[in-house]
Amino acid sequence: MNTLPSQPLSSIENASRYGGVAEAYDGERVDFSKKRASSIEALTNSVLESYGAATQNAPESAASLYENASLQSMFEREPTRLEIIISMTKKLNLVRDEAAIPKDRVAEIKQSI
Amino acid sequence: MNALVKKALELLVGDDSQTDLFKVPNKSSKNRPLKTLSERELINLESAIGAKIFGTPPKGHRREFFNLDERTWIWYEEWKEHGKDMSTTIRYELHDKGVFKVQEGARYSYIEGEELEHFILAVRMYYEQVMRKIYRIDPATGQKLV
Repeated sequence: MNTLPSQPLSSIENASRYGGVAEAYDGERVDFSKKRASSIEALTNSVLESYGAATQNAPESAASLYENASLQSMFEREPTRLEIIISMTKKLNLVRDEAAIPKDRVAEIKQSI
Repeated sequence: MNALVKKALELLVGDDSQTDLFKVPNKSSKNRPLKTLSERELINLESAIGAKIFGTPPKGHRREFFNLDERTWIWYEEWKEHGKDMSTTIRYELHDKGVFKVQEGARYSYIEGEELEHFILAVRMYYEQVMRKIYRIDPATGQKLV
């Protein structure tokens, strides 16, 4: 059976605010200083955990988001004309490096030019 | 070459190959069988195609246009003026942000407008014709032409 608080609620509220010791309305003594510390600690831990998760994940997320966006835009957009001629020039050099054209084909090539 | 002049050229032009810049390279370092064309010979053949891309040069002019390496294209033109040999050489460098033009006299700039349009068109025509006529490769598919 509940009993009426032995102290006015204002005292309990006061104690909880200023870390004092007060007797709860059911007669149990509650150390609000510990309770508050505990809850602040819990809150802090919770905040730190969230913050930690956020700080650990954020850069990675941001980086991967950025990377994905870049890749996405690269795949989605048409290559520019500059990119096309750079690619052509690279290809041409590869082909030239690997070419094994017999010298006796020169006359034929010159004729075709 | 005087070290200072060389250094100045490096600073202005960006590399120390300025003196050899406008010559067709003799890249004989690659081991090629003697019976096949050297890289220099291939570039000479390519240049014969490149020279015609811009139409017939004015009478008395000789023109070369060729690709030197993965990033460099060369335009060369020579002619006579009042009995004097004249020539002009332009190096075009492909950069990720544009086509950089280097001329004698340490003049350089990114090309734009009509010149850029002509350059891009010239490279595409060069690529297509050289791949077909010299290397017998379909420029679109990269497959060998039969």
